[in-house]
Amino acid sequence: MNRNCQIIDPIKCILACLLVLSSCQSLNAQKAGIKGVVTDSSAYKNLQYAIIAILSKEDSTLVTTVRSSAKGTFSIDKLKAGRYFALITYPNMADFITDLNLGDTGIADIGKIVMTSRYHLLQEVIVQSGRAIRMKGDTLEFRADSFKVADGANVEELLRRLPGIEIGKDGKIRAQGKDVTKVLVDGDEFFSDDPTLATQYLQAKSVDKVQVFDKKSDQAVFSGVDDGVRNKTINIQLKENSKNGFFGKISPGTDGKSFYNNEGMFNLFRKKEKISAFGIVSNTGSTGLSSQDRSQYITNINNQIEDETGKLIGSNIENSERYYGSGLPSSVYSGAQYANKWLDNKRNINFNYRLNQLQTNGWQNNIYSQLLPDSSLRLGKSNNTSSAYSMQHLINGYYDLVLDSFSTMKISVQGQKQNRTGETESYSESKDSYGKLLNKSTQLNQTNGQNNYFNSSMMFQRRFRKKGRNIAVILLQSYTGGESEKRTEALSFYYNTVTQNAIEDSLNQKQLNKMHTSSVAARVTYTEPIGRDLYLTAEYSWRHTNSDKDREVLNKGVGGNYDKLIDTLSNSYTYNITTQLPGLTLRYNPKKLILSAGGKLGFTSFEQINRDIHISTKRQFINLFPQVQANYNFSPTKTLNFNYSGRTEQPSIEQLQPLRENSNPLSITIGNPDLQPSFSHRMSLNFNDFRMAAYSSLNINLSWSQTQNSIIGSQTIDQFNKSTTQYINRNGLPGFFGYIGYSRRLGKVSVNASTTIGFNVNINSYGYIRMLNGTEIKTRQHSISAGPRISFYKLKQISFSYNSNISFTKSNSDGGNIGNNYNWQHNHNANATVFLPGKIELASDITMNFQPANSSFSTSRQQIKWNASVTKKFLKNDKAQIRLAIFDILNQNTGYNRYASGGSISETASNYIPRYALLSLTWNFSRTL
Amino acid sequence: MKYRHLLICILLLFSALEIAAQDFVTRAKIEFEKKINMRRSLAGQNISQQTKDMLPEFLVSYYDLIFTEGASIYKAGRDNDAANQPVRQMFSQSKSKNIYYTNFATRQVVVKKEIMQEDFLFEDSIPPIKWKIGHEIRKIAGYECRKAIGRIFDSVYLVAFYAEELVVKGGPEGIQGLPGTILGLAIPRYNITWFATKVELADIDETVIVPPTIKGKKSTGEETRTRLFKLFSKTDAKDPAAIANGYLKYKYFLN
Repeated sequence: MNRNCQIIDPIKCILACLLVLSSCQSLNAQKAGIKGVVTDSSAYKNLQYAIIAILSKEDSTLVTTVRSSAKGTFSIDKLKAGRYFALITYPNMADFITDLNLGDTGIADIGKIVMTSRYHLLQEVIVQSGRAIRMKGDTLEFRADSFKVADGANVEELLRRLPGIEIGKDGKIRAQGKDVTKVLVDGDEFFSDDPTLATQYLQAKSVDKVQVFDKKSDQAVFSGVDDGVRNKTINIQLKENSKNGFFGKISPGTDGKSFYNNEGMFNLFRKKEKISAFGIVSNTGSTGLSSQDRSQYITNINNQIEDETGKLIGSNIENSERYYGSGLPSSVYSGAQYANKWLDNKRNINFNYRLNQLQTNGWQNNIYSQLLPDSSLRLGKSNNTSSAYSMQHLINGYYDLVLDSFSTMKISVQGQKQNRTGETESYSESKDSYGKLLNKSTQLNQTNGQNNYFNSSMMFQRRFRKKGRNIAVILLQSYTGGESEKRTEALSFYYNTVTQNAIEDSLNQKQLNKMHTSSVAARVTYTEPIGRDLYLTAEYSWRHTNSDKDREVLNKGVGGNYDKLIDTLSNSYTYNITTQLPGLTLRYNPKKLILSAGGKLGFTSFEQINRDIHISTKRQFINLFPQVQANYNFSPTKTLNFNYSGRTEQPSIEQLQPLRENSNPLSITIGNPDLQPSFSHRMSLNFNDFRMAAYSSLNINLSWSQTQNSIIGSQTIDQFNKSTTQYINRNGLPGFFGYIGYSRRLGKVSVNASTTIGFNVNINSYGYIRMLNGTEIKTRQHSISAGPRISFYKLKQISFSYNSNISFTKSNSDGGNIGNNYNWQHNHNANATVFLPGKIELASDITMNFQPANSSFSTSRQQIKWNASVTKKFLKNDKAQIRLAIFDILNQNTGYNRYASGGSISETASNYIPRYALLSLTWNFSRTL
Repeated sequence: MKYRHLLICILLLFSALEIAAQDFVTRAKIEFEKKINMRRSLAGQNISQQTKDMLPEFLVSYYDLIFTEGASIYKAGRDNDAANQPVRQMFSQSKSKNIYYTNFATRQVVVKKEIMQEDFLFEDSIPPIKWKIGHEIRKIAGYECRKAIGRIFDSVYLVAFYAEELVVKGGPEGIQGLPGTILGLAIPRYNITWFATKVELADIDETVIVPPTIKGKKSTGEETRTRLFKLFSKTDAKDPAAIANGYLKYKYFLN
């Protein structure tokens, strides 16, 4: 009935509901109430005369207010049913705010309210500006004005000042010891997965408050049943006047010759409508986070439905839109976003487009030694030069609808279009232990490809009157397509070790790859409360994927065209995959504790059709995904959780296909159709404790994993040092990872000065197995690294930080004694900024890496990268600044890397951005409309 | 045994100190400085520039708010006649005779007000003000006060600062209803501010906290309305009945 009338006329329906609700309200008017007790966190003493103010949620006006009694108790009655906030305040204590949802009758007991002393929080801030920090339910809220930053500073500078927040060198944010997975602006996403755009380009001055909280999964928020999923989230709430105006910055920079870095951003906010655009044109390698880091900020993890085939059909899509540190990059990164809300925030749209263009030119030299099981040694070296170009268009958007107080809908789309071209020229040779040549090869590889993807999803969620009962339906579609052309010219010589006579082998071929995958999927999740604090969730997912993959390998014919198809290397396949995933989870969720156990079963039917020879192979398999989870929250900032998960993983098609891939004649991979799926176990234990009083944070993470039937490479190296790899199953070796981190403030805490010290320890122990010429080689690597960090800050005078770590690694391989050793290295990083009179700032940072000689490498290695800059601010409010920066003053950047493990050692050098200077001018503008 | 007593004494002393660490005030005398910005309030009026220049920028007067947990009274305090002499002469004003009494238990107010040299008594409930509590903190007369913004008569905005440590929900000129005592108040529309200059905690004369009376006149609503109507009928007011009604609907607070 309800649904029908929604379709017919939602407004009428809402009106009818309101009428019913209001009549209910007047019948039971003013019968509801609340009661509770106010206590002090440090003394655990009940507080008298605390103010309990009841504010209307609708317009936040004061409804009524009382003081707590001598025993700390309070009770308020004669309240109308409805939504309220309770604001509890006490002199020198942080405010406490909680939501109240009062029913028609009865006194709601909000229990014990623990007030935290502001004196402990921030001694000086209280005096200066009062409510600098407050705890709002589970949200820690900082008022930006209370944390002074220099004029013209960006949001990142502001975040650095906030207790419990750390910012890594690359802009990655950690709060209370955990990685922040989402940065919101006014509660909305800002350029989806790139938080650095918000933190680096928004002005600290336009921020009203910063909220740090653990975002529960959409599902948990909606259903009210906690699934224990927590994503550390930062919300940057802008000032009202910044929401009605425009602001941004322009910052050109150049060294006058070859280096440039030009950035600009513009934001126009009109009430709830927000339009933003940015552009970065640079050849200094500084364009946001790497794609690995970005994937941490994915938009909608809830919407993914896997087909549970693991890597069975692969993706063929390589993303290379990011500069990884070697070669000389030049890039253009720009984008625009539109966001708006209307109808009392019941409609919310957010859409952005980004363009990312990257050109990289580089070279790389490598030398290596490899010990074979028969104790013979192979020595090799290679040089290559490469250039790569990539052009990527990305779209991302969502539309949220609150249909009524019980149901919501979200529609989201993501798309990408990428074109890539690349060329690599390489030379390699290898010798045996007596210095006799084994092979020599020159290669030219040219690739040219494009790929596209488009995903869309629709999620509908509905709650019911019974608390905890809810249903969620997700429908999604995804399409991935790509084409690539790869041309290989190779000339190789294989030598007889005795006579040194060469056999010549030449290759000139073209590989054409095409891939189209499209899938549709759906999932229904239903949760039913089956007892006190006990919930049962049943889910069922279905996914159908259809994929076509074609590969044509062509030899160069007499006419100079690539027209001779090589049948043994070419193939065209179609895959049809249908997966059904029923799952059941039982969850026990009293206050503070979450226990859940459950699992999913994946029934997959997999059909592979060889379109060349019209043979179809079918496989049916069942995957198992058990999961156990336990969370205990001592308090919102002190938590312990344990997790176990197991999963079956199917081998990839490249690992299964008995087909040769010969684009590098010196390294050939062949498939193994007898591979079994692997099953991996993973356990983790995390403990986090953040104490506001001392701003101390302690994080302990331990994890263990092991894979049964893991898929490993079996490599055969022949007398010409040609390598052939095939995949086989072996039980893997266990891996252990441990991390302990502690940090706290020292001395008196204030807004104007602070000292923080910290220490962290990483322990890593893992092993892997590989087969080399039929011999099983187990390699184990144990490492421990530890180091202190200290930072000091005094407003408008100095900021300084130093951290270092020493790491010891022991590797042990039963494949031979090279690369088997202890080695150690130490790294140091220091940076300082000094504020001089006349609005001048001097900044410098040094990164040092020391690798002493060891049994694998006879020389010690050190690299010191020193950058420095001088900045002069001018204009009103320091709106403009001019900066001269010099990077790598000592010109020690060599792009050198070395590695020793499991019977092999290798050293690599690549080209890198050398020493350069950059003169930049920045103008921050803003205007209220 | 002896030590035990000593220990108890020390413990008592410490607990006393602990309580003293957070003082809550349940009875006090607060002096308010009321400032009217004359230049601004006369800005639109037909008064010569010469006269305006003669006036001080602010008309400053003092009031006392005396309260216990049960009731409060607000009336004129010490004189400031010397400074206000020019204004007094010009507008033939004297020290305010208005008295505001509030009984917090019954939520009743009794206000004695002089309107055109006649005394009136208004008995009513605490005026309804829509308050929104803010974040800003300001120290007034040694107390940390939190900002709140209020709205009365739908369109008159008030900016108030209340002290959490002062338990009584009172304030100057009958403006009240916040969780603590209002120590600072501004009504931008009327160019008036009130700020507490001192809070006295000792020697409070509670006997003065009694409802005001007027001699020989009744104070029922009907009686007051008739008297007000008569009074305004003598003036050139266009609608004396509306003015009289307005006074009875809380308008006596700010007029």
